[in-house]
Amino acid sequence: MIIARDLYRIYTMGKVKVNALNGVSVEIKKGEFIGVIGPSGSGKSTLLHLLGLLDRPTSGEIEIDGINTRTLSEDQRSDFRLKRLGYVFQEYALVPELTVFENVILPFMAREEPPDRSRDQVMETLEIIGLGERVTHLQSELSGGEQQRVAIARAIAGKPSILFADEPCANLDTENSRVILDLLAEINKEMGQTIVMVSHEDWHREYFERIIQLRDGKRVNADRT
Amino acid sequence: MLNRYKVSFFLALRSLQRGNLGSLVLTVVIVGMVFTNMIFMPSIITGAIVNYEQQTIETYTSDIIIEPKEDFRYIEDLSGLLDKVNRVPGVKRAAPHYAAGAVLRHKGKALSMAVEAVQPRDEMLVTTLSTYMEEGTYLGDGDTGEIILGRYVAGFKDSSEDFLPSLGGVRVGDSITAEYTNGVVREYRVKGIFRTYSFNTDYLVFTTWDEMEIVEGRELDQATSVLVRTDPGADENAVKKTLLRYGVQEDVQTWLDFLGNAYRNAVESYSILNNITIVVSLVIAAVVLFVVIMIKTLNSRRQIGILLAIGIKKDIIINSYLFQVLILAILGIIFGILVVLGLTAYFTAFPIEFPEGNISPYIIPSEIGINALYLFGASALAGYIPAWRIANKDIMESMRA
Repeated sequence: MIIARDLYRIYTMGKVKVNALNGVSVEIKKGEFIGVIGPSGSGKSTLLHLLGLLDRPTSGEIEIDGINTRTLSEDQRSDFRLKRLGYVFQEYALVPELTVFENVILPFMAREEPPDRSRDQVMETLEIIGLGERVTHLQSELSGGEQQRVAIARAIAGKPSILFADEPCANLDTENSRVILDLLAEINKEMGQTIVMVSHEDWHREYFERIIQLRDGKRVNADRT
Repeated sequence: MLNRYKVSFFLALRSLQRGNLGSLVLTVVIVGMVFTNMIFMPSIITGAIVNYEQQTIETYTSDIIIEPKEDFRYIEDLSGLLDKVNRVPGVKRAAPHYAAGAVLRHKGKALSMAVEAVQPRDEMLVTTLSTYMEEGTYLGDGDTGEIILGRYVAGFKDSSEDFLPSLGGVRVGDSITAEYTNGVVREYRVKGIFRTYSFNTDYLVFTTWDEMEIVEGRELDQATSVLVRTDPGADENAVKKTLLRYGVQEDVQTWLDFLGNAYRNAVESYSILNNITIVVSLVIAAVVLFVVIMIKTLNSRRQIGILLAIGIKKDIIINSYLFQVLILAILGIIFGILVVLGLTAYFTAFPIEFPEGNISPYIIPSEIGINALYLFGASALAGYIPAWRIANKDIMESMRA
């Protein structure tokens, strides 16, 4: 569960201060599939980065699973991200020199999980997302949709508490976008995975259980579906 | 902690295995060439030094040289001294030299030289000069009226080949005249011409002890120097101390003492040159590897940001680049060693020709290890700094790169 209270994020660009977020509060329950939407520059990605502990708020509090993240050191935040959170980014963000299997097992290795169990879990996840036959392929041998599915597999294989997806369909055509969204919806439904996804496509709304709408760094809706 | 290193090593290995092969090969070749430069160039200088020392010991001073005490021109009671020295443990043999000043003349050419008298049988036990005869033969005990000349004394027909004033191309069998400072004039048949490629030795003239007794007109129980060959494996410094302990009153010097501080300073200067070569090579290797890793990390900034974002620790990422550079360094060093061994084998079979003689590379095995460690250390530093800089950037900044 995520509780964010009164989040502000001000960037200083030379002498100019940009208020990317102006007092946003959100509450996300376990198992929800949340869409963060809004026009360009509304602060969607900034909110996701703050909730995903990739950035620190200028002020405000974020509590994840009962832990006040402000109290965490840089190393603890890194551990927290590795062990409790999963990420899917716009660009597939795979390590090009690693195969599909190696990309997905990398976080398991970093978490020092037992190799046999890790291998089983990775293979199981790759089967679920339909890439069981392509485990030895490199990034350069995959289509854009397949690469994004590998990124999703890497994010969910470790069964994170929350999956953050930052416009995961931005570089995909409609057909592949639908495959990815269907997959995320299935993961949410079947595995009870909490998902927070940023999107600027209106037709994605149908997948979200609940929407957080932002404009000019402020939340413009109360919780609504 | 060990697991983190394993992950770093895994990433490094994959990056090298599946990265750009051309870049990998080129980097290994550059590191290998740098290592070759670190080892091979100094080995030529060391080879020249070793060659000079060997020539000096083998043909000029032997292991130990005994000279008259300060302010004395001759070693007196030579037979007594030789008896004493030859009894000292560690001494294989002692051989006396007696030098007399003379003007040598041949076909209008004249040279002021010291003619050195030796006892050939003993001499052959303390120096190997007899094996360096370029023409004719070495002296025999009892020879009189005969002389052997160093190549630079005999000279060349073509005077442009002469390094020093010479007799203008004397050949074996030619006659030369020696006008000694005591007024005696002797006519000599040139019995042999030797060439050791040592400037010192090849500008010497030798005759026999019996001949010099004729010149001096008396039995000689004096010497201007005594060369001492030590037993194989004996330490000349230890033997020198023993000689002094046995009561040798003369000036006893090892070959290195004899060459003096000027030589030691020259060797030190060469050593400084070698060190400069090593430092310059290390800087080149470090800069090359720094640039390689800098380019790699700059190109991978976004990827590094993503890895940091998904929780991969900074040290895993930094060490993955560190391991890459260390693997490159190891491959480069192995390549360099193979090149050095190849070059050494070639130049041992076909030595480089210098006026001082044929020089072969002289590699001290420990130097390979030490230089490999230096290169390893410089590489580690060169790989660590750019990786550390990129990995310490803000995650968001890296991801936006």
